[in-house]
Amino acid sequence: MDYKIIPKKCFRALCCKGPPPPRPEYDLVCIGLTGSGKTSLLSQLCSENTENIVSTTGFSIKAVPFQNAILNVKELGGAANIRKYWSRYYQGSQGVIFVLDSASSEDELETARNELHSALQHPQLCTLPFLILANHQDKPAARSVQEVLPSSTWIYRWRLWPVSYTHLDVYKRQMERAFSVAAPRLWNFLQWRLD
Amino acid sequence: MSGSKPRAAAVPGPEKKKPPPGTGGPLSRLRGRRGSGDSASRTVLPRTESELLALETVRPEHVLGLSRVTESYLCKPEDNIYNIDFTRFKIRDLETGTVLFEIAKPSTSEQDEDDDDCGEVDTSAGRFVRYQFTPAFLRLRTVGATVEFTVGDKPVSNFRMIERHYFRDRLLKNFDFDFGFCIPGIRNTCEHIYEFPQLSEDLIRLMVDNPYETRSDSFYFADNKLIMHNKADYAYNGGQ
Repeated sequence: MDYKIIPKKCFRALCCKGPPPPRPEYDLVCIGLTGSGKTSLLSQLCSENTENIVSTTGFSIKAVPFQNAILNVKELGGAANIRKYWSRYYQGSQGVIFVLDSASSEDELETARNELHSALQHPQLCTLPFLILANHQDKPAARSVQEVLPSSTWIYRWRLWPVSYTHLDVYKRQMERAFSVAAPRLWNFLQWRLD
Repeated sequence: MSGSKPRAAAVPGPEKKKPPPGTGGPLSRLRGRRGSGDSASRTVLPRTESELLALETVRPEHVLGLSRVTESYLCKPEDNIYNIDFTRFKIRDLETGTVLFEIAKPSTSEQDEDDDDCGEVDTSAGRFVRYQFTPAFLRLRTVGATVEFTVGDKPVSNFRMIERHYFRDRLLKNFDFDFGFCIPGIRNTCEHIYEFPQLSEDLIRLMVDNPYETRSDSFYFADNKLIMHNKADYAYNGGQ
């Protein structure tokens, strides 16, 4: 009768304050040339300070929490001496994030395109969806996404997003939306139009 | 009123996810949440520490059978033939993103320690760490623990960590992480997710009231052979 003396335990049970259901997880590998911005973009998703970021040397495994999903991302260093080891880390991935520097030199961009092409065709990645981020769009020398990757050359199972540090909120919302819908299978998101 | 149960899918939300077939590779082991101590004993035999100390080589399946923290180390410091060195450790609350604790190994004589209110650390011999947290720590649901380590001149195949947390003689949680291949001479970082096991109020009270009776063993394997063994103990009565 005296509602104030409901013991805490009972009150909690009545209000169904159990643990939230576990979020679905996606195992991704994140690759791209050194300096393309992989670490920065992943840290941004975690709302972490990006001031003291240093070049990733080996692997950097990060848990990226979204409201309705967790991304387990294995980011790999992009220096030339590390790239030869990339394929050692492909097994078990469900998708790939490839980061390109839209403002790099033409030679570097060509190297990046070649690495992307190799990854798309690698036996352990060739059935997986790729999310390609054309980063550094805010730099004066940045090429448009059409110039970064002429679409006729590539096959269907990837999405290409422009990303700039001046509009990181757009990128964060897109990422959250891409991984936070009802369908648990990552490649389903390729069927949606990301306008 | 037709008697049908309310559909769980009425609110759009994630389905329960099972890993798709063929993706049980290294990354899927990083979650750790499937390594619950209760279900660890599919093909695992119970082991005592003395049995393991008598073995020529300690393997992952051996430590998975341990039911309590070991009294001594199951390998020697010189067994770390790959010269793996842990250089940084950080814990953050994945619900809020807040960094709860961070410590970096001093590179020279300079200390590079960031002492949060939540934790204090006392290290000895490089293989043992003592943590003190506040009681609030036990109420966390999901924590990200970041480990940074360097590798010596030899590449490491199948680098794997098995970490077991106990309160007194009770296994609280088993974590099993497969780092896979490690490039020689390189620094790597790994953040793994710890989902706290559901602890009863009574157990929480006991853990808070009995500092350092919560303990953990961290076993590190390369090619299924034990190369490192670290220990830690924990108090949850900080700030009281």
